[in-house]
Amino acid sequence: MAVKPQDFHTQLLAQQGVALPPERADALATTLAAQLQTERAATHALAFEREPSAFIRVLEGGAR
Amino acid sequence: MSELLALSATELASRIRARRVSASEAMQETLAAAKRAHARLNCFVRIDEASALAAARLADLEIERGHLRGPLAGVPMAHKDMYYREGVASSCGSRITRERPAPATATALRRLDAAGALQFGVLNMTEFAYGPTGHNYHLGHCRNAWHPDYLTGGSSSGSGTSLAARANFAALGSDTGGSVRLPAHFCGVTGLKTTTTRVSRAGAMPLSFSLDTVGPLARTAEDCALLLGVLAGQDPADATTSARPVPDYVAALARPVKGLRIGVPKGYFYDGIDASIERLVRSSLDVFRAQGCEIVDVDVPDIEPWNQAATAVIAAEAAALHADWLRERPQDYSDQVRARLELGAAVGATQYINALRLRSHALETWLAGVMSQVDVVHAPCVAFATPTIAETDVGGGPKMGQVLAQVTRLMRPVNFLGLPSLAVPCGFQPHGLPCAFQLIGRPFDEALLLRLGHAYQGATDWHARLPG
Repeated sequence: MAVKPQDFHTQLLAQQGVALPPERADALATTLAAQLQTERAATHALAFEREPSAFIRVLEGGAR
Repeated sequence: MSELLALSATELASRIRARRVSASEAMQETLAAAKRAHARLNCFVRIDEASALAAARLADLEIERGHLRGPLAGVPMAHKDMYYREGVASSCGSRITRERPAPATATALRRLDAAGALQFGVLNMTEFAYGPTGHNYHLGHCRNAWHPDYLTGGSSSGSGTSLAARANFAALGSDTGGSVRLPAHFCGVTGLKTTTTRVSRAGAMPLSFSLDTVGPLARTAEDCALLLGVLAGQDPADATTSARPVPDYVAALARPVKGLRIGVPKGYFYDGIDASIERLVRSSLDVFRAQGCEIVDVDVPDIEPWNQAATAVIAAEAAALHADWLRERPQDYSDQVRARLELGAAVGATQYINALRLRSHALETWLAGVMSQVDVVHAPCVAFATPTIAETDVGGGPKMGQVLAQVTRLMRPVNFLGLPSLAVPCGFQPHGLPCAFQLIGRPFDEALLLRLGHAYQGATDWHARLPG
């Protein structure tokens, strides 16, 4: 049976011992969905091998 | 206001060195100004009068004997209350840490101490530095020195407004999503967001270990240069600090700016901007043009995903750090911070990691595109007229996401890229509140930003104006 995103997040937080106030569940689900959608579009073509630690190399290499 | 209080930190340090002013005299006047400012602006968490006066007397004795601790000898400073001093509790703007003594002193404070700066207090800030407006529901909202009904910006709210009120000579802030530059803009002071890894974060309260940076707020770019020279450099206590040598930032200010290429973004930064803010920010370009800089329009890539990715990284990392307290003491958070931490607890591992994977790609794109055409990028800090504290008092309610996103929109992408950015006052909005532009540079190019900021402030007096 499909779980509504609001309920999913409430359960996810409950498993971490955090009680999500019901009045915030909708906003949380909406915000996360928007973030995920934007991120998916931005990362879908990233090289398979790219990893987070590459950032420091680019930062150091990007100096004059 | 006395002549002494109107001096910059650089000017005061020079007068103390020359024994034209004593450290005790400077401290007495600063303490009196701090008490006056706090009564109106709620900008201090604590003022340590007795120990500050004792430290100033000691500094005077040392100077009389010909011993000068460093370039900041005798200069009174108060800092955002999230820089730990051994054995002392830092509130971090919260209810939770205010009785938790720090195990060690922050490297930033140790370096300022060694340079002779005299800390006389700690400053109000947003709870756990997790908010861009300056509201604080535990300590009381911090108020803008230009009009106490208006926003200070955050999270380094007390740093910004104490400087604007001339009740402090320089302050540490921290910038994870705009927390140095926003108070600089809203309060009319100068603020430097440093390159990621340039300044040690050891002993500074963490919010997001990927994005946190330590930086100064001060009255001038010259003061920021003086402080950065003291603060920057590798630190064994913070393994992430860069081994790159620290340049002489103050000496570099003297170099001419003629011929430098300043980029003006065509998109994103000016989308939907308030007309009066746009006019002030664009007018500041005339000053650089008159000094021989070349102003170049530049296309910018699609930045919004970087903004969203930064938001996810901060939320996830903050939620991990706060997991125990969020579980055990949720009632001790304000509604807004609690709501944001809850959101972070729901960010998935793949979303978080992909946001971090995107970071190097974003920086490569920015460097190869925008920064291959220009030396720095010039942009607004915020796109709307400064609102009141009441207008932005959204707590953790349904308007929270929209309001906070609007405030941080032009800030967060710079944090995501890890780049340095200097906020410089450039005039006043029609309702009398200040406005600043930001200069965004290549990695570790703080010297160039400070040089341009110094040149701008040599030709204008916005940074020297005093609240009525």
